[in-house]
Amino acid sequence: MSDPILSVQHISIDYGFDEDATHAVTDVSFTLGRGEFLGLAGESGCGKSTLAYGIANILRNPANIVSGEILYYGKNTPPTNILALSGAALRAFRWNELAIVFQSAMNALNPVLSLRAQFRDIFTTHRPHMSRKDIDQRAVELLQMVGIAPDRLHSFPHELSGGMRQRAGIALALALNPDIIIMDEPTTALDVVAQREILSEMIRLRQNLQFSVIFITHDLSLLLELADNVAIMYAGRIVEYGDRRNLYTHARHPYSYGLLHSFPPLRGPAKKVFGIAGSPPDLRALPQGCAFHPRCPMAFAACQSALPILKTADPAFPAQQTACHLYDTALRATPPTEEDIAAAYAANSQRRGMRV
Amino acid sequence: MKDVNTPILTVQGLQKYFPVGQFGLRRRYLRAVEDVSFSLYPGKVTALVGESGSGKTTVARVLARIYDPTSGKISLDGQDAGAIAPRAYRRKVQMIFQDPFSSLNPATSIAYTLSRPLVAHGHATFSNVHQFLPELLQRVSLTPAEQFLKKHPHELSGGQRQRVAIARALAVQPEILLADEPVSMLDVSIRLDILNLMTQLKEEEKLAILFITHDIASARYFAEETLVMYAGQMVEGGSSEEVTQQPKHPYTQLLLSAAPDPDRLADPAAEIPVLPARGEIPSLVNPPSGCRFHPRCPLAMDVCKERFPQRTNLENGHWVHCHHVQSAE
Repeated sequence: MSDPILSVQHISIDYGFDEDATHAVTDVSFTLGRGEFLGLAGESGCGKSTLAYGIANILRNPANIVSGEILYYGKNTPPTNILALSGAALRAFRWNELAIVFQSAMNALNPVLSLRAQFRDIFTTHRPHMSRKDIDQRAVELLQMVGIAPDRLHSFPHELSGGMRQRAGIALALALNPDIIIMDEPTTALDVVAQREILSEMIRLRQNLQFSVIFITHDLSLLLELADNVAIMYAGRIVEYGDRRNLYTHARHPYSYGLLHSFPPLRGPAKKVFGIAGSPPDLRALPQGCAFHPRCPMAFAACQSALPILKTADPAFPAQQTACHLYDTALRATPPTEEDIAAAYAANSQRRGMRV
Repeated sequence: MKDVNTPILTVQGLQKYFPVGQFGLRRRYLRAVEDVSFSLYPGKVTALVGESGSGKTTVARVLARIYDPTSGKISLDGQDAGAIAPRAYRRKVQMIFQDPFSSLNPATSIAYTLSRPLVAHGHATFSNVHQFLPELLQRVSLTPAEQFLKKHPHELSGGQRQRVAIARALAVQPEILLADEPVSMLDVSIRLDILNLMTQLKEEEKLAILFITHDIASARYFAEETLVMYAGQMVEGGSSEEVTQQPKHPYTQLLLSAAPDPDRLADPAAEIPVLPARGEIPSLVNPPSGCRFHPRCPLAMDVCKERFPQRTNLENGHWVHCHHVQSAE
């Protein structure tokens, strides 16, 4: 593991207060290495976007970070807790050190300003000494970096296609050479070709500029091609964390397995695939014990009462952590193999009246 | 019993132009669909694959008679569709829309949403419609039905809403379903459930389904036949297995290499494809001459700029419109 750039420790985020609070993120910890590409995957409503916005400290009421800290390790500076920053210090931190590419480029860009004006916004705020000429020059450089022709500098967002808008969003995020870029479903609204082009662009830029990425998506198939490590979230908690290859070869948590096998194969023999039964839980009324147990094909008694904690499931892969009782030797003698989980999913879908 | 080998809906030479810029003296047209032909068979799914802007949704909307075709022939059960009254036509052809968050009326309950088509198409009257509703919801695996009937769309998740939208289409007892990207707005984990449900309905009720998608992997999974469209032109078609495993047209190959494929991880030597930016779907007001894909095509030849290639038939009903394949034959 390279040296850390960001360390998230026991973060919990609520919407609302006291007993009305909805716990969107609960006790999440992870470390992002310098130059690492971390994927954050989960269904809608699992808290992945809330977590990302919490990391950037841009949440507003009624969201409220109840506990935990987020340490940023800048170059040659002592670690700073992002959550403790405010006022000028926070403004200086944002975009300089950490930038965000938002989900729908359609709404993230200001529709009444040209790209040039939006670049000027950034530079006049963060680099007040820069002349307009220098700003334009830098803006053109950035646009070229993401594959947009320089003559588009004067375009307004509505004159650009969806893919170009997303590229412009990336160019804006790169403007100040941040150490960390958070990408919140950057390609969800795009079709496959535009998506692939943008991701290729990201891989190339990351090699050249050496920034770290937190990439949020509900499409695990993408992450497996791109990310170094993947964290899978369910109902506000990380349920599995591991190297993408470990996760691909052996997803241990039944939820990860379900996500991983919920897209049909592009090549190889055609096979029946199932997806995950049911829908994501209501965060206002989470089930007791493991939040996934009502949808889990392998749930047993302990899942309904005790909350599993994230820990190493198999000593042979110490970095792959799973929050699941199935791997607790005190509760179950032998951990399930991948075939066991597959069989349970197939049996479960048969019970639901689906033909196999 | 329906005859599964006779097409129920046939489209021939379909064209759809939209007028644009009406202020000038000369009217210009956006050529959204150019010469599209295919047939739908009972109990079979036909997938229409392409990027945004390729005209696939326009085709579905013309078939649903939301738009009138500029030219071309649509025949339903051997009858010219234009001669059939709209309501009688929609009795047989129903559409499922992409976005379940906006295709259901937010102000009315699920019971009302589902009872409208039943009454409008004469399968029930307002007094007895309620006895049909639970069964309808059970067919799309929404149980307990009584609980869902009282709810409003905002109380349902995306997957549940899409099931309601499917139930609404089924209420009419159609023979053809036009599904316009029915799963693209849903979470990946929910998509398969919906596709498996539609597979089940197709088999049980011998529905003919037109499945529109940009995800070529789900076309392979769900559809027997796949047609690839680019900028309003059909470029390749055949059995899904043939088209996805042995794509002949450079555009189909582009779509396939762009699709995420985690199975590439299984082979450590496999490289993650890097697609150079080759631009986007061209303007359809002034489309490129000849094969509309030629500005983005790595194999483009001079003849590609001049005329659209003839159809080349390969084995097993696989066909392609490409000069490159034609000259290789």
